[in-house]
Amino acid sequence: MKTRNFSYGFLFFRASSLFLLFSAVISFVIYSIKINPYTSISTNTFNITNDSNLVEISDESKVWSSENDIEIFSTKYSNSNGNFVESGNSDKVIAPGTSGSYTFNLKNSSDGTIEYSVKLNAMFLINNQEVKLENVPLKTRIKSSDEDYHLGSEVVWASIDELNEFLDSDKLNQNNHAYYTFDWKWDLEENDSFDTALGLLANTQDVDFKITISTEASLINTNDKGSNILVVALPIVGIVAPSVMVVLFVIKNRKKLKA
Amino acid sequence: MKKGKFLKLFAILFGCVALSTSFVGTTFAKYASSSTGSDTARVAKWDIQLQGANWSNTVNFNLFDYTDANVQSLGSDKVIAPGTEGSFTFTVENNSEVTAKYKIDLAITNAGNIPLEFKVGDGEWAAASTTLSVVPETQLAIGSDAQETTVQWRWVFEGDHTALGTAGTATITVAATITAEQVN
Repeated sequence: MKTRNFSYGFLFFRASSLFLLFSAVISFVIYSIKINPYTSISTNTFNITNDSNLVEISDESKVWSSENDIEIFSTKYSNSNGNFVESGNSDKVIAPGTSGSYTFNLKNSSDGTIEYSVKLNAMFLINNQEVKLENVPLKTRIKSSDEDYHLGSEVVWASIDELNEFLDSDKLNQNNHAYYTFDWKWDLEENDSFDTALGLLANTQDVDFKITISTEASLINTNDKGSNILVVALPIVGIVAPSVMVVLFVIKNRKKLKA
Repeated sequence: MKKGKFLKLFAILFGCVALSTSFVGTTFAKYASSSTGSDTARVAKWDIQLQGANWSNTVNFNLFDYTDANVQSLGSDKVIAPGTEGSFTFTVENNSEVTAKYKIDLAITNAGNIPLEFKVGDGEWAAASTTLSVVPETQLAIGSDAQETTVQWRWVFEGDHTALGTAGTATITVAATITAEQVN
């Protein structure tokens, strides 16, 4: 008569394995659909798109989209004597003695806390090719919403080279704002020879100066409790499940050996 | 044995699925956004035209080019004599995209005291000095018309200039300096 060597331990092992496998698969499917409403499932790829509602960036004239032409420079600059710099066409221009300021605002429009970063970049281009120029008499400073200067100060201006090393990051709670004011100026009397050479070159070449502001934001904590639970639960399941299985397997084998 | 091996394989596979699920879940389920804003400006042109040509560090200043049938150099030197006269017109134009100012000054070296007189524009004739301001500092607006200023000279015929003529060695040199710079 055959007897089956029935082990409750082994039965528990198989049942819990199946349960954990089922839980992991279901959790992944639910989590992906719930948290990624923009996820589309094709035959074998997931397409992830940016969430444009995560952070709203705006200035005094418009709300940013993903790529924007903004108004840092102007086609003319005036003082009490009238226009002292004026473009001969519709191009924006800069020259010794000109200056400007640009303020942009970041608003957390998500349903949780975001972490954002702001980076600026400045470059000279000659005929659309970036060039490195030394001793450029352009100056800059950057101030944020807490009235602290991140670059330069009320009385001291940083060089334009330092702008390329500027990177600021912070967290914003839901519906909170942060703004940055970027000031620039081209000193009139600092480097006549550089100024004259560049101005003469501009007669025959396209000599441009470009400023780029880049922002990134990511959701680090959502107020959706269901999602938060899954964010915590899924890694635990993923780590605990195989750990438990390994322990049970070792225990089972040891019992066998002792027997 | 077969069952044991199967279980081992199953355990390993399940562990991999569960572990990768935890990473996949957190990786794909992350909101992120990025934006850029940029602006470009062209460096404004600095273009002061002098005598109808691009600015140069030297300019032909032919003050003593004149025609007088009664006076002629025997060599290549330019010569002046009693009764001769001449002029030169400076032309300056601001084609820049910035406001500018300019001035024109003459430096006169006249060791032999040749009795020349000079006149600027509609001004009065005056005896040569060591310096002469042709154009005091004057603003050139963006897009303004070309500015012309004429300097005249003359050696008055009347008077006794025989000694200078007999020696024939006195010289007079007139150097013009034109400066232009941007203003705020």
